[in-house]
Amino acid sequence: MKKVLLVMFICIVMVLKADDKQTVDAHLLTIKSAQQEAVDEGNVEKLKEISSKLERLSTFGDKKWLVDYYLALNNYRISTILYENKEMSEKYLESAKELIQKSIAGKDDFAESHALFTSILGMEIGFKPQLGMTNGIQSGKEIGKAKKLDPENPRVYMIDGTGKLYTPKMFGGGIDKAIGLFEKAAELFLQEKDMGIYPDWGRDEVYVWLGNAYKERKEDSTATEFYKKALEINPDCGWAKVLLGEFEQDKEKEE
Amino acid sequence: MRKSCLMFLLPVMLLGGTIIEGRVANEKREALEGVNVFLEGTLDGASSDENGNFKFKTQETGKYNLLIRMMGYKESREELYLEGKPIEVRAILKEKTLKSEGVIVKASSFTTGEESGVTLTPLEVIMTPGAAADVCWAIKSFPGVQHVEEGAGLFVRGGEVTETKFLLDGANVYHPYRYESPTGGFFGTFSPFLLKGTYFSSGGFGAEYGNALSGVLSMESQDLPSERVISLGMGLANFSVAGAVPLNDKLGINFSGNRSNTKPLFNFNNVDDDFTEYPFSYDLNLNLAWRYSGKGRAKAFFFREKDNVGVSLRDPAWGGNYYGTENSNLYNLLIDQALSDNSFLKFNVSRTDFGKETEITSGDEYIIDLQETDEINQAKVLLEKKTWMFFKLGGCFEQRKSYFEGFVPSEEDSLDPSVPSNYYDREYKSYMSSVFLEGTSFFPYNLSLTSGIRFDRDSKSAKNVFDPRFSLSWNAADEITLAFATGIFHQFYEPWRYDPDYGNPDLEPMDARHCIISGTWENDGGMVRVEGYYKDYEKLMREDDSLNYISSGFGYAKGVDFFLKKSFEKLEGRIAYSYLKSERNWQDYPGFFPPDFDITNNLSAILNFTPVTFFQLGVKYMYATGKPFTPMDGDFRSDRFPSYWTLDLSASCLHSFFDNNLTVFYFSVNNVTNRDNIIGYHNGDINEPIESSYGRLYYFGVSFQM
Repeated sequence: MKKVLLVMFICIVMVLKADDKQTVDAHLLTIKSAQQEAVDEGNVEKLKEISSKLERLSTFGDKKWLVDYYLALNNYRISTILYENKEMSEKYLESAKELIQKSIAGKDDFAESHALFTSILGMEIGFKPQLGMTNGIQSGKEIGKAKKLDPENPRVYMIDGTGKLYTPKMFGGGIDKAIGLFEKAAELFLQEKDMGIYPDWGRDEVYVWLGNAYKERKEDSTATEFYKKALEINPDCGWAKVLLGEFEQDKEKEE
Repeated sequence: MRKSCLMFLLPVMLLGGTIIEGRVANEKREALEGVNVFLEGTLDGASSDENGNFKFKTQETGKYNLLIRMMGYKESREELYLEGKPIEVRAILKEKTLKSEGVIVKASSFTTGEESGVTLTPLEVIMTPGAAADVCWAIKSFPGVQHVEEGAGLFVRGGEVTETKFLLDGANVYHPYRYESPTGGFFGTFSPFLLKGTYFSSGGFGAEYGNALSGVLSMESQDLPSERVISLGMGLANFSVAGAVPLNDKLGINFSGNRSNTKPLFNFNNVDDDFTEYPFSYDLNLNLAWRYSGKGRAKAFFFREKDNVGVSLRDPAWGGNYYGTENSNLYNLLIDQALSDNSFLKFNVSRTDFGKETEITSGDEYIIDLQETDEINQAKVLLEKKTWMFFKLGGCFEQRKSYFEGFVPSEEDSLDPSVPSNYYDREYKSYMSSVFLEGTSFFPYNLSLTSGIRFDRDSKSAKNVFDPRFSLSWNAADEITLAFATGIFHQFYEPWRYDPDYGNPDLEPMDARHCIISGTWENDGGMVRVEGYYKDYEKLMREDDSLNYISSGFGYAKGVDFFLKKSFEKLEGRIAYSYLKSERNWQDYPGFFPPDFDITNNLSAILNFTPVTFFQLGVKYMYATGKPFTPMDGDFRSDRFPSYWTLDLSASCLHSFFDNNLTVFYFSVNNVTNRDNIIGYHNGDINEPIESSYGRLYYFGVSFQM
């Protein structure tokens, strides 16, 4: 009987303490899917909760550079959702910038961090155009480095495409170039295997970007097709839903 | 059986856990919502609600750190012992003092660089209209720096140009200008691309900086490069190559080479110049950075520069030529080691070799034919500790050997060929040692006090000086900081001034007392700073018939500086205005009079416009009251030159020709209105003005980075 009780004692303690014994990897897996869900919903509160959790996880010591990456990504997402609230959005963007720099300092050869840094620098120009020169130079370097480190990474091409989409042709950007990069990214997403704890976001987003590029070209029907394609990949993709909704509203108004 | 039951219940009892609850507020005791409160190394925690309250339960036991974090606030850390009993925590979070625009609010100082946020990055130096891509010229657009000459010389708040001290990676830089002249030089020695950041103070600086009466410009060289970058630059007056090459993740090299020849620039602009040899210079730099451990880094910096210039001198009384050549080498080894999480040790050894040859001829006759060399060896150590107080303890030992050989006129400042010459052949050795201690403590109500003391001893004068310094800062409201700084500042003379034949071995070190009061308003969009100051000078050098020089000069400088920096959507501007009144009784003055650098009003307004991301347009207006001078038939220093002003424009455009390429095209027009600024009068005769050679000046170039 004593033995049975002892075993029960150990089991109870083990079960109740199981959460603590989870590794950083296990937590990251859970957080990754929660982050995708919150992004789909455009839910800032959920994203804030995730930031808090990642902040705690960053004190575990293990894979801190990767935790910092996800935290930077999370705060960057919050910043994009809160874009209209300039003060808050800038605050989160500043934090994202600080974190991604920390992540890079911790592991310089992780292409994803350099690519995300490019996005952050680009968004910063949106708030402060006078930083165009300095950030333009820096983001060119960062995306170049990301491509060199991981030439088959779809997110690197997608982020490069987003930059090119809003860069005038005379400065090395343009819609055609952006579409080329999004197509390349879409192709690479098809080949991307299970990334485990590493980033795998963007499979649906790349089609939204393709849609946006065609929308810029005034090819609305192709744009719609790509938004629908994004929803095929991820039926919960909130961004695609919003953009499709906008199209439908415009159509109704025209009719 | 009872034992068995207890055993069964034990884990449940143990797993009852500890409840941690409390409240988080800011320094004004206002509740903070969304603060992340958690146990370090666990996921156990909670976010505070709208009343700042939080509560969570943990199964952990033993010693843990409770971390309290929120964006924009300093992290709070508290050690807890978890044993099942509820714990209540009351925490106050302090706002981070470093604002996004990176200006540390300390009286009279501006911090620039990548780490603390940026007010003036190397690229911004390039983009400052009219600054000729020069650090010193760019610093001249800050408040408290007077425009005295058309050069890079930093005259700070009624101080002479030699009263501003330069440092690079902690090493004293005794020859910070190219084409040296009594008013500084035409350019700064170091290119902005060699630098990571700069610290500039126009007064009231801490005890860390000694042997300077007025200002400090401390520069920091580039760190370990993270990626390979090679860039080529070509403009009307220069050609440059620079690169950053990481050899591995711990070792990297930054290098640069620059060749400058102004002949094409002056020819293109049809400048009616008097050059017999156009200003020509080259410099080479090699900087090896090594992160030898997670807590330490070393930097070996080598810099070589050479320049020469020849000018025809057009004095109505006599004609002549000036020729000057300089070469300068600087070697510096810096070791930066973290001793613990809050203790840091910096150690550097440096050597400077400087050589200069000056010739002034009239026909076949030499008026000046002088060769100078200057060798400086220095060792410096700095220990920093950040606990409840920030401590800095440092010391420096410096050996200097200066050598002069040649002929100079027996009357100082006279180039008249009829004045007889003296032959010099002298070597001067001097040693200087210094120690300082500085501490910054933080008090309630957002008050911080920095107090320090330094001791300097110079072997040539055999004098010891003690400089106490204080600065007080009060964060009066969210965006408003008031500061006060005061202290004593000493500066020793150049070694040759103590020569028993040509100087006076009994000269005492010059002495200045600063008193500064400052108010700063700052938010994300901009900054306004107003400062008033008073500086009292004593023991300035006076000329004396029997002793050559004596330390009986005195003077004062007082004024107000105003600085505004503001950015809008696509516009970014800054305005620096300085009002100054300064008088001295020194040198050969017959009484108390304004010196050359008493520039009453000094205004610099810069506006940068970025209509599209890859194009920037800059405009700068600079105005300065004319310098005092003695008219031919008038009283001593009873008149002033006409005001000096210029309007400068610059434009730059970025283009990418291929992946990883960045090409910057730049174009500038200095003195757009082609104003004839008067920079002097021959013999004080206002009918014989000396006009600036710099009318409208076009410059263009390209920088290609890959």
